[in-house]
Amino acid sequence: MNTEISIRDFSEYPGLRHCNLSDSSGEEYYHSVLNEAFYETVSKQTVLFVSLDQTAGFAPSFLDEAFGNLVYDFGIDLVQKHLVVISVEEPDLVLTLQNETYIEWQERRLKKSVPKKTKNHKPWWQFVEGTFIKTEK
Amino acid sequence: MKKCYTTWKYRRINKCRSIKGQKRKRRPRTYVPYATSQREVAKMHEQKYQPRPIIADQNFQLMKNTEVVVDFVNRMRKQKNWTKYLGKKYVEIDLSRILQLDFSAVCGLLAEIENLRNKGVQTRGKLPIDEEIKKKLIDSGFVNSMYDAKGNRFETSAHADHYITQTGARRFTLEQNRRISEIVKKIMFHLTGESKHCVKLRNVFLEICANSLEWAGTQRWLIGVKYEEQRVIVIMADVGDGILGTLKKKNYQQLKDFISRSEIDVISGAFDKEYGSRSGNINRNKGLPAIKQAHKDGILKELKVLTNNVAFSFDDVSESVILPSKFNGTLYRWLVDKDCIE
Repeated sequence: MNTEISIRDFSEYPGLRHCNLSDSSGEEYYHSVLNEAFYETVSKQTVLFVSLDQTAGFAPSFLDEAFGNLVYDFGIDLVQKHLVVISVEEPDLVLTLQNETYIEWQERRLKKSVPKKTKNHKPWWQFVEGTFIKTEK
Repeated sequence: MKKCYTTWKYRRINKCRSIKGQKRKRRPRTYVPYATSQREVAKMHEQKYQPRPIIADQNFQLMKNTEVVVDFVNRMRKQKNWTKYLGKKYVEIDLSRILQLDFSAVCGLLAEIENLRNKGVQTRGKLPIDEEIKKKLIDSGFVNSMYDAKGNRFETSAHADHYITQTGARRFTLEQNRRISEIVKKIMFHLTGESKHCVKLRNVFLEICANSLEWAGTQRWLIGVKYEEQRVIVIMADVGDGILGTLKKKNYQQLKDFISRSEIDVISGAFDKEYGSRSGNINRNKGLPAIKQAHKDGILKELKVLTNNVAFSFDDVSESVILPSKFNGTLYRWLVDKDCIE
């Protein structure tokens, strides 16, 4: 059964990119919600729906960091197969994610350009060489 | 019953103790940033305290007389213009001669005052003699965290609602996030009569705050909003390295810029994503293009940017100017009216 989550449940006022810059950041959202939710969806071979609606609005850097990290850790193929981002209020954001964010972060994954972490997060899931592993760094 | 000491030694000790206790009670509890009591002012005159005030020009408008205002702000920053008294550093400014003033200049000046306060330098000075300009300055929120010569806060008038200033530093908290949303809702209410979110306008605020926190050296930002009839003027300012100081240029770009491009072309290129960000990552440098896109989409009108030694106009690039002196930071100024949000 497909899973639906909303960023509104995380925060009505999404912040900026990194944890050291703001509360309710994209980095925090990825590590506290998105990473685990996506792993469970992929394990069950279902689809994760993420809604961007009913928040006060996003800084582009929030979405770039949150969904970009997903592409970096799991790869663009898995993300495009198991993730659907919905935004009725701002459809442009979804297009930006698909046309720019996913591609740029996939390039970072191939170059192994490690994303910046500004906080000690609990171990999170990555898809490396065909297997899922939990990493701390 | 009060103890009565009979021995001379213990009487003396008790007397010293009681005098100390009385002095402690007499000491004022609130910390006043500079000399406000009559005694301290008299001491200053006794010791011939001679500040070197920086005098503001009559035409103190950032949009129309940019060079003069930038030069004034830069002189505030120079240590040779600071004075030291009783272990505290001060910079003296004299605004008494101002006859023309705009809100952009007030915000730019306020950003620099906050920056100096962060460095431990207090600002003292004279307000404009012209009553109308003085009232305008007080209502704009310029003196909200300052005191007059008697140590009292300044009284604001009924028109103070026409101005809002909001500052932030180091970390963008949830409270500041909410306040920005409230500012956007208030702008919407002023223009349309409905208090609602405007997501695209809020995104611009967030992007500029993000840039200030991440790249401006001081990690401080300031928002100023002035409500006029049928339109709203928004100023966002930070003090730091400016846009030119945070661009990452490849070698061929550095050579090309040195040979054939002016700073105006470089700023224009930065907003077109021609350069990378200091982080060096491919997915970065989206903030500036997003701001330019918002201007293209009509959300921001008459957008102007003052950064480093460039005053850049988005509406007409030919109006952009290279300044003789450098503005250490970035200042955005734009208008929002009903057309922008419909």
